[in-house]
Amino acid sequence: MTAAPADRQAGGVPLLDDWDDAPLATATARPLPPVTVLLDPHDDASITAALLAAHDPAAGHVTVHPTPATSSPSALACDLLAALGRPVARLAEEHISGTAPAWQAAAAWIAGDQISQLAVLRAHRLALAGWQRLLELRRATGTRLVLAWHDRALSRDVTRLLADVPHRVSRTVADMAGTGASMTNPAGPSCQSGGNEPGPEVAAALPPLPAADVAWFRAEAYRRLPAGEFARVDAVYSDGLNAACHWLAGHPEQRAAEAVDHGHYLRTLFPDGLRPAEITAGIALLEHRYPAYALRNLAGGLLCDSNGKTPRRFPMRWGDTAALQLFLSEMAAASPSRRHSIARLRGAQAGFLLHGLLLTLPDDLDDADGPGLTGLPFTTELASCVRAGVASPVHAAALTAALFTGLDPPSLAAIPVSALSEDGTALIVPFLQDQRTWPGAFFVPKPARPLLRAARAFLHLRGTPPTKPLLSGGIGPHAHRVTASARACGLALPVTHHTLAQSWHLRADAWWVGTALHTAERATP
Amino acid sequence: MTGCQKPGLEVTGERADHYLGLPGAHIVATDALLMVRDNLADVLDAKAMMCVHGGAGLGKTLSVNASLRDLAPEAVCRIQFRARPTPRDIRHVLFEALDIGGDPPGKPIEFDAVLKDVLSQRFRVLVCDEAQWLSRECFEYWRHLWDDRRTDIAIVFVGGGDCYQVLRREPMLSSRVYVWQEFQRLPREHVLRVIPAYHPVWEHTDLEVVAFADAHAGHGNFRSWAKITAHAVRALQRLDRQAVDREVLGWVFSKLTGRTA
Repeated sequence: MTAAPADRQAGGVPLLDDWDDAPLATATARPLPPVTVLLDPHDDASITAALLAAHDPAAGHVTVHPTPATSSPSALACDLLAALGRPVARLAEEHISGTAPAWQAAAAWIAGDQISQLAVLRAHRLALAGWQRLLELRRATGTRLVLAWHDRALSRDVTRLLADVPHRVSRTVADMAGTGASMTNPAGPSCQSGGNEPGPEVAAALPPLPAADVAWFRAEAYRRLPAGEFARVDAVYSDGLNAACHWLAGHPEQRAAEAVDHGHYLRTLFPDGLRPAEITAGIALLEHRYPAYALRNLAGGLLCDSNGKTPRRFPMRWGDTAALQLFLSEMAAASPSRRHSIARLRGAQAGFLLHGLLLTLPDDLDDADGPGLTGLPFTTELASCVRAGVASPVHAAALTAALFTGLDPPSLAAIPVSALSEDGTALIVPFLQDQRTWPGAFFVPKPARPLLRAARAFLHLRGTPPTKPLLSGGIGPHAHRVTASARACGLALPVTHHTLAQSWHLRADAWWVGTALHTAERATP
Repeated sequence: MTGCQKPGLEVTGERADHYLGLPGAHIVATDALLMVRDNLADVLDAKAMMCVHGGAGLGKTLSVNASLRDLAPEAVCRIQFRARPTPRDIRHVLFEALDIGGDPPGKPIEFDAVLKDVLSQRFRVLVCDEAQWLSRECFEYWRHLWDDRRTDIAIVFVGGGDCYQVLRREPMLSSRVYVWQEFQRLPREHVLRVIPAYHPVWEHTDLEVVAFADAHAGHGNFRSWAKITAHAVRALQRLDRQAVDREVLGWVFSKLTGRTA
């Protein structure tokens, strides 16, 4: 095993002139793992087989098997994209067939998919330019680079190239992740595994639902539906109710409200200047001598404070609008159908009421558009379709966003890069309405996050400022690009003309209308 | 009329395996053919690579074809190059041989994806004849197809001349070729045993005449014996003889050498 001095960009690998240096340098904050050169002097079939068997993008391990008789960096980029599962036949159509954009796309996908190990076979046959590109890719993404050298000794050029790059030479394939000796993904859990699909008990098809608001919804469903169908609807309704209770129990605004409600109302009977212990003793005395209802009447009469039960005034608007939108869009996005979304939302309204909140949803909810109500839920399978059908990160993200937001193409095209939260869990897009700027928050389903992260990484690598659009490159004039992407994936693009402001969850609102019947202690298991 | 044909023209099936498509010729169970059959069975079972090498005309291709006709008739895909091929040539020849249809993709990576898709649909034995003409790039291409985890193939390299040395030079093949088999000239005692069974014209021929023919023209080489046999059949017709003797052989040798005996 050999070790090289620390990475020195200025004196090491020449920087590639069609990559933007600054964005690449800041693309990863993690310390770079050293390059591993796997020496295979006898070109042993078992080593190649082991590395190919380790290929598992879902686990963060990708093995590239370069196309024979090609030596250009752009061909190697195609091999990378193919190994990542992207359709290389679409590179030209998606405007990433050039050497620089193809490598940027590969780097973006590696970053978005959190690929922790990139193994490249036949490294002894790669042109030096290919090696340089791979080292640059490592620097941009922080992935662990494994180069399989199926020959006796490293060439002089490669030895010189690696002189300034931390590396080690290994002779055993067991050191590589995914080859049996090590099956863990140091980058964390799989980016593709799991999703937000509902459990089987609430995934069964639902009958037509009553067009009724929360006050009558469940009763109407009970009256109109056969027992079995009602049970299915009620299971989804309860799921929404429990989700609302669980969410509210953990929300700071709910906790603050409870703290106010449970702060002792008799505290205001005592003058300022008393020590807390004296006040506590006074309250204890009153409570010992008088029944609770008498004390509440006393406080109400003396303090002219409503009925004396709470210092809060109702109705009062829920303060955290963005969080409410995220919660609602998350809950609906996890629904397998529009009916599931509506039943779940009615249940959530009931849950909010238990916590003293009136959750108002649009009157036209049954016909509205937006997350969970337009198109299919964005599942892991849907994400796989997009990955297999679209090569450009921006095109893939545009299609993804169109599917899970249900927004019209112009609204999608206007979403800036900065709208995507750092962890990729939310798109928060300010929008103008009634001469005011409102937050428009969309929950990003888990399977969609790597796709959006990859688009951001791609634009970052190309030096695009955060204020510029994230998805417009993948939408195209008259939505022709996103339509072509959907066609390439065999998917139907939701036919929608609703703007950001018309999205159902951005028209939802919540008001405090009373104290909670269902406190955090009771809501949290 | 002898019915002799140019190789590969209008002769199909078992007869096409014989040099000149010689009518009446039988496949004879030489030791080498029996060994090829056993080795191929193992190679097909292991979905591995095999190299059959030896001088021209020793029956390598015939043995491989005849064995595969029995072992895996539906799986065989024969590829032969007339000149030094490139990986691009291999791609196109495979595209044709696999009867894929349509226009071949333009980019190598897309071309390979199509070939790999087809080669993953069911098991195939790719027989690459005249393998001594392949370059390192070409072997790299075969290795690429074989190493791919989706493809379901065995590869049989058949070659004359310095095929063994060419393939042995490639470490990638050394670790992947499961069986190496060399074909050699038939020893005289084997010639005396198998030639009477090879063609009816030799069935009742005096073994001393057969030995004479082998010593002067056959040299334990099946391709030479095919030529001798074809001329012998014509000679019997021309000379109105019933059996091959030294006089008939003299007529045959004059055709083979262009000189009178």
